[in-house]
Amino acid sequence: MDTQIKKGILEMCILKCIAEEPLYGYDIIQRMHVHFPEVGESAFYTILRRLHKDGAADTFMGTTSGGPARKYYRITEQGQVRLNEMIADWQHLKTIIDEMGI
Amino acid sequence: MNKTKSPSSNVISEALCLYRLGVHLLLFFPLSQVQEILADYQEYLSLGRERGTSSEGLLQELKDPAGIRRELLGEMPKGRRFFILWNGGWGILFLLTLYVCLHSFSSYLPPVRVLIPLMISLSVSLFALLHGRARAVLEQQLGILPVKGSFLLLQLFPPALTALTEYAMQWLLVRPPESLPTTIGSWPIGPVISGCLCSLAFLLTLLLIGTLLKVRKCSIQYFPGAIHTLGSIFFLFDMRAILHSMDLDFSDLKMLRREFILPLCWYVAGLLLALLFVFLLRPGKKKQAQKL
Repeated sequence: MDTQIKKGILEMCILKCIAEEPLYGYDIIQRMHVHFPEVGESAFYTILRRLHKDGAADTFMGTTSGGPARKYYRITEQGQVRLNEMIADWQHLKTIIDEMGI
Repeated sequence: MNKTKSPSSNVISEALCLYRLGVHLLLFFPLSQVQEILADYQEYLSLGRERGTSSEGLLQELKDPAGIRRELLGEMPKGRRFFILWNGGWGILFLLTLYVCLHSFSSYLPPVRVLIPLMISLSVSLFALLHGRARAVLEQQLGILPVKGSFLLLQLFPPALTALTEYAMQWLLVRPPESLPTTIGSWPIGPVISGCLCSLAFLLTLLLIGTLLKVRKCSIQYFPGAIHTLGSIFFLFDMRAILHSMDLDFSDLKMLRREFILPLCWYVAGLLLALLFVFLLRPGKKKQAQKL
């Protein structure tokens, strides 16, 4: 898959994951690896950092069942708006491709 | 028979991979950003170990720091500016100081009070280029411990050579001139002594280069050893320069002996600088030293 297309799709998929519930990096990557096994972990972390830097996601330290504190990612309002726009763009693109019979 | 790594050796190799990545990233990003990046990877690796999933993919990626750096620079282009400003600035200072030092040793030496600041400038700029303090923090957080046994033994070499050379020169000075040979074999004694000093300086230079390679490959904790060796090298060059430049008038023995003691300032300066860097590289305060 083309790198630029993949970047956009990965971003949208990650935002969708964290929109459902806050997750930490490992869980996000494990979920993404089910659908994108060829993408490296460092690429996912780069996207997560970009989302955090752009304000689409923020982080907090949380614990699970008495374990050590982990860095969780959750979507922000800005991120939700961005996700909605990306989904709309994607659906629009899908419609065009379907109409063209590709 | 399948050989499997023990869990502790896995942890060590992960820590080394992370450390090497961290050292590479320090060229482009400040310590706080590098710590954040490494914390993410370390969390992923530790969770992978807990859950028994393979982290081979990530470990392979960590072994390619240039690839990770390219991705990060794509997201954080300020890293290029940091690279140019930090490394460029300190690099210029280092090269300029090195040039002045080498030029000084090839001609008549300016006073020690001028050259000592040059030595300080040389070692401080090299320390900054190697991101010394930041590397020390990373090593502490990742639990990278340098193996010091044989290295410490090698560090006895510079003071031993310095003391031996100084003793030999002082011994030569107190001998009656008529008792000193004018030649050794068919060689005049002056060039022979000069050649010996150069050979010793060459041996110490090899030790210096070896130590700097250790710094590059293993740990910044070897850096004070390099400065310690540098002091001895400067001492030998100064000794040689004095021999060449002086008209040895044995009538004023006190003055002569004083002239040959002054080069010890180089060794003492190197030793004090080395101790300063040992202090700078000591384990940090709790805030900085939190485990990644």
